[in-house]
Parts: sequence; structure tokens; C-alpha cells
Amino acid sequence: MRSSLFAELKTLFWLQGKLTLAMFRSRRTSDWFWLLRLGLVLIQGVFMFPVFILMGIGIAIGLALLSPRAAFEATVLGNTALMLFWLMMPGMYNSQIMERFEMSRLFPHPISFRGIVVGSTLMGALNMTGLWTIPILIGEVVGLAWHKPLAAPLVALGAIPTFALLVLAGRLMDDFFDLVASDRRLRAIMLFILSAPFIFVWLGQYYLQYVSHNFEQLPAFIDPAFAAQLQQVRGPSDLLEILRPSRFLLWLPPGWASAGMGMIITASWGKGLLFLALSFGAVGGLLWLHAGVTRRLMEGAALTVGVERVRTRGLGLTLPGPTGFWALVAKDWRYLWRSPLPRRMLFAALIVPIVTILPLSNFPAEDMPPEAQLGIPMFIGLMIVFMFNMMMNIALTANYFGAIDREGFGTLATSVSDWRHVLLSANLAMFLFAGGLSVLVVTVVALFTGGVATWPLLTYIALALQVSTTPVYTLAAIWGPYRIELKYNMQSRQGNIWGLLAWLLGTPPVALLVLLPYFLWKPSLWVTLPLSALYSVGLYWLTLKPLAKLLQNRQHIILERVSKD
Amino acid sequence: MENESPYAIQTQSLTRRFGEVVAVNDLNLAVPRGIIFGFLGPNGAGKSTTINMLIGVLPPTQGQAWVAGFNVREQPVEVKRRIGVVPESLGLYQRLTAVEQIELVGRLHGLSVSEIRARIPTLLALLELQDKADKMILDYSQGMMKKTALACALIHAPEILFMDEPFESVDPISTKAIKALLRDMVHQRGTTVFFSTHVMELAERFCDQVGIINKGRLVAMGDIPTLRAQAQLPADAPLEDVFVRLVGAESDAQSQLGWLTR
Repeated sequence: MRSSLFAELKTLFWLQGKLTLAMFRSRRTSDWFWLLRLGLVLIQGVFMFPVFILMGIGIAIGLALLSPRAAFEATVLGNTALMLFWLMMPGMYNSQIMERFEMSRLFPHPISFRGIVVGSTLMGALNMTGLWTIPILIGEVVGLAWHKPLAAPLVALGAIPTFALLVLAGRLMDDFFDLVASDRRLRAIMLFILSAPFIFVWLGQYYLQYVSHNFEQLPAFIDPAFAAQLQQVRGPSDLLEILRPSRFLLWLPPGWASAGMGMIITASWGKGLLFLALSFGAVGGLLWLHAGVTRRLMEGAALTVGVERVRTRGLGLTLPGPTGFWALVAKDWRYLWRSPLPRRMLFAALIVPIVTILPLSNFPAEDMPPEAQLGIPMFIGLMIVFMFNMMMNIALTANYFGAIDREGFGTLATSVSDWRHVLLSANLAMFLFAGGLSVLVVTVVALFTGGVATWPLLTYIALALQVSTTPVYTLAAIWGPYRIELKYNMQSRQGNIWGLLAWLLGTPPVALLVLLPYFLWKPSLWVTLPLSALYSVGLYWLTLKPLAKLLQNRQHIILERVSKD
Repeated sequence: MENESPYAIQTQSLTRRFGEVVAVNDLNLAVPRGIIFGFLGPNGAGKSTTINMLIGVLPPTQGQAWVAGFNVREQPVEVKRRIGVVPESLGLYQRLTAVEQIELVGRLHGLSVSEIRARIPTLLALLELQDKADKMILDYSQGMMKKTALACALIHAPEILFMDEPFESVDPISTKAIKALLRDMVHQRGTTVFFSTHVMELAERFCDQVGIINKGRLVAMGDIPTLRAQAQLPADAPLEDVFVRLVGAESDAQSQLGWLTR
């Protein structure tokens, strides 16, 4: 019964194969559904793999068409981007699609330390990212070797540590996620750090749009000498040679490996070989690190008795009305703050206005009539308010029981709570939360657009919209709840089509009652604003009882859907 | 410590701290081979932490442990080869079927595929899992997952079985069949069964020896008559009373619950 390393690896390959194939497994047994899935798998297979190969061919041709120096620069740039992607990958796992190869599940079994370290590294290369990275690297090898065919073996040799560095980087991130698996705050911090480079690139291009008032000219902050060089650019080769991203990226491990591949073709044989040796050393270093973390994990580093303590502060007030209702409000409010999903909304509240306003700031308003110019901040603000309302409510209100209550819905179902109170409490907590965030969004909009005068009306619209759309979103929450997978920042694959329908149905009445008078004849707002408030509150009040009845009738369905995936 | 040790499990001043919390404190256990040993204790007493240390997934902060004659810290793989485990968190791959999960564990134990495939149907039949054997584990109830974990623990016919609350959520028919099988394994093959439970009746009827742990410390160990004597209770006193006396849980909480009983 003694296992050799080979036998252990064989078993791990077998396991990885089963987990990959399980991706295509259906939980339903209907023949039609099975046939449909089979069709989808075939389509995926037919399209996916040729796309990977075409991608590799495209890269090979692209690099061959560039100058040798530019091909080297492009390789460094591409491999750094690949590294970022591999680092992000563990945080992007969707447990709905493919189950993670979790080392910790193997620890109670007789598998050697060596088997776990080697096996987990090899398995890391066999995921989808690995499958499309290989053609890219082959493309790079062909494209680079095109410039100096005799150097082809060394370029190919350089691709080995490049791939190994990528795989080990992804593997290490997996290890760190396993280490902090029990601490969601650390996990969130890790995800933020990992996604920070992408966020900076993403926001950076908005910033460039914001500062570049004339796209024919380069932004003023660029060094004049460098700008003069950039003006000479005649093609991608020129651009890459002038920008020389390798200046910065050679400091990073993917840069070393890329230098090992590419410097050989730019006649820097010595440096190329040095970088090749350095990248092999880096592979050894990462493997050593992976082994170290694995040993810590095998020694139970992730097993703790620690529990996350949270502070509970009461207002210390006895509020009027039913005690049960206020208990529900307290529960909903605490849950909204302790669930990771609403916190992501906080982030969105800052990001959405910025990424919408910055590109629009270059809108050529000077050519427009003055009245139209005055309407621009209002127009931008409205767009953002509607978009934010949609984002927030589709994610939370339209799937309140699947996103917030989840298993806790069982407590409501077995209690004697009045279902109207359950809805009223959830909606009140959401109103306070969404209302607060909307005010924040509107304030950011007013500050960035300079349209401070729009603040009161935009705030009113945001709040009225929240009240008036709540019944349809609540209907969606009762009719189509689904459990959201909160771990690893992922949501269920099934989107909330009911939430989208709710937005389409719920938004127009308030929009019409406020916007038409605003843009057509402002004095009529004195009538239509109170009317829209009456409509919002009235609609909510009239629908509360039937919705509560519906919730009562569907409680068993909701509980089943939100408690177990 | 030699492999011929008369004890299946032995610990010496075994201690595990998590920061300032001492989960297991100076534990000295000696479980003879070929018995069913029940490990009892209130919630948070240190039962699962002890099991995690004995199965080699959590190193002790201090002390030593030997399982099947092997030092858990120094030879964890040798220990793992000889034991079967039903852990607290069952650790099953959710998107495998029961058959695949059991096969995985069999392969990790170095069994041949033909041997595994010959053994699986009998285990599935015992645990009444045949009808669901080709369904993904994520569709199983808690009881079925537990039975799958149990099948995994048994596939390689281990010398020692560690089970954390093995019968929780398992239906009475399967429980009866599993208990009968475990007794046969103990009496005919000399297997040692070490399991934690809260169910006193089960421990009283099923175990040859019992250990009681409270706040990380072993407060009593031996057969039931010995424990009764230690607790200074009559020979027919139920284990529940023995447990409460030894753990010192006879508090005045009940006197404060007049609002519930009057």
C-alpha cells in the first residue's frame, strides 16, 4: 500500500481530470437538459481551443512584424500582464463553474509532502488559464525566434521558466488564500491588493481622458523631451522602442524570464543568459516558498479556533411600535454591514460617478446653447443616479433573501413574525443604506460637475426612486431568489433576470413625473414632485400587504433556494 | 516507541494553544488496541482539536502523540496510512460523486483500481448510498455526506478509525448497520475505533472505554464502571449523570430558569 511519488501524481492528475469534467456536469437529469449541455460543451470545445491556437499564431505574427527590440519590449509587457492575471486568478475562481483543487482536503490522507508540493504545482498548470497561456508562450517563442532563428533553442528554453513562474505565482496565491481562508477580512484585503494594479490602469485611462482636452496633443505632464520623441512615432515598433516598458518591468520576475527569452535576439547574449539563469533561480525561489507555505498548511496553520468578533451597539432606546419589528430592523441593518456584498456597493458608490463623469468632462459643451449647457450636470447626475439605483437594487433588494438573509431566512420562516414587518424592515434597512449611498453619489456628482444646484433635486429623485422601485424589486426577491456565493468575491452564474425586469418596470413612473416637467416646464415641478412622492409612498403602501401574502405562500420555496446551492 | 506498542493511541502531555486559548491541556491518553473508545466532552472542550492532532493535521504546541506506534509529528504519513478519518468538516469534493470520492481516497491509500471498484459497491450497499452513488456530493443531505465520508474512511480497511461525531445526521437504519460493522471490525480484526460524541446513550452502549475531556483537560478515563466509581455514583447510574458529575456541570442555572418551568 506504499505510494510512490509517481503513483501520488497519477492520483492527483486523475482528481484534476474529474474536477475539470465535473464542470460540465448537470444537476438535472432531464435528457433534454443533458443534450443541451452536451451541445454547449461541444460548441465551447470547437470554438475555445482553435481560439487559443489562433491567439498564439496572432502573437507570433505580431512579434515577427515588429523590430527585434520592439518584439522584446512587447514580450516583457505581455508577460507582465500575464503574471498579473495569474496572480488574480485564485480570487476569480467561480466555485459554480470549477471546484478548486484544494490541497487542504488531501492532508488527512497518506500523501507525502513532496507529492503535495509537486502535485499541486503541476495541477496549477492544468487549469483553463494554463491552457491558454501555453499557446501564447509558443507564439512568443516563434515570433521572437523569427528575428534570429539560430537563437530559437535558447528562446524556447526561456519560455520554460516564464511558464513556471506564472504557474508558481498562481499556485502561491492559492496557498495564501488557503492560509487566510478563515479570515474574510484578510481575504478581502488580499483581493484588493491583487486587483489594485488593474484598478489603477482602469482609472488611469479615465484620468488621461480627463486631463487631455485635446486628443491631438499629449497631456501636459509628459516630459517635453519625451513628448518630442513620441511625436516621431511612425508605428508600433517605434512606440515600443521609445516607451521601453522593460526599463521598469525588468525589475519584476516576469521581466527576468522575458529578458531571458528576448534579449538573446537583440544581440545581448550575455545579458540574456544572465536573465535566463536569474529566472531559473526565481522559479527555485518560488517553489521553495510554495513548499514552505504548504508545510505551514500541512501543520495546520489554517486551522484555528479563532472566531471573528463583531461589535454590537444598540441605540439604548425603546422605540415605539412592535418590538418584533425593531428586532427585524436591527437584524437587517447589522446584516447589511456584515455581509461583504453591501461593502462592495460602498466602493461602487465612489467609483461609478468618477468613471462616468471623467470621460464626459471632455464633452464639447461650448458649441451648445447656454440653456443646454446648464442641463449637462443634471443629465450626468440623472444618468448616474439611475445607474446606481439599478446596480444597488438588482444586487441587493431584488435578491434580498439570497444575498443577505440566506440560511437566516429559516429563522424568519419558523418565527411568528408578521410578514409585512419582515418586508418593511428589509426595505427600511435598504432605504437607509441605499439612500445614504445615493446621497454620497449625488454629492460626488455635484462636486465633479460643478452643478451644486442639482444636488437637492438629484437627491430627491434618488430617494423617491428607491421607494417607488422597492415593490417591484421586492416582488423579484420573492419570485426569483437565488443563493449568492459570497466566498472568493464571486456571485452565482445565474443572474437576476427578475431584478432587471423590476428595474424596467419600476423606474419610468418617477422618471416621467420628475424629468419631463424639469426639462419641459420647470414650474410644473411644484405639482409633479409631491405627486411623485405620493405615487412612490402610495405604491409601496398598497403593495406591501399582497407582497407579504406572496412571501408567506412562497417561504418554503425561498428557504430551499437560498439555503442550499 | 515501537510499532508493537500495546496502545493504538498514546499521548504524553499533549497540549495545543491557539494564541491565548488553551484548547487541549496536558492530555495523557492511552487507548489499547482493538477497542471502541468514546471521547466525550461538552461543546468546545477540545475533542476535535485532539482528533486533529492525532490524525496529523495539527501539530501540538507541546507534548507527543503516537498512533499505531508511530510518532504523529515525525511520521505523519505512516500514521495516515494506518488510519481512517471521518473529520468534523467532512472535506469532500463537492462536485465528485460518492463513487469518485471513495475511489480518490482508495487511490491515495495506494489501493489498486480493481480492488477499489470491488470494495465500493459493498460499502455503498451497507450505507444505503447505492441509489445516489452517481450524483454529485453537493446534492447530498448532511447524513449522506457523513456516510460518504465514512465509506472513505473504511475503503482501505484501516487499523484505527477516528470519527468526529460519526452518527450525527445519519438515519437509524444506517447507524445500526455501521455499529454492527464496527463491532465486527474491532472483535474480528482488532481495529481500534476512536470517536467523539455528545450522545451519552451511544457511548454507554457502544464503547468499551470512555475518556471525558473538559476545558481541554482529561477529567476521567476508563470503562463505564470505573467512571461510575470515580464519580461516586451507584452501579446503575446512567453515563449522563456520571458525565455531568465529572465535568462539574451541575450549576445553579436551572434554579434561575423558574420562568421557564413554573
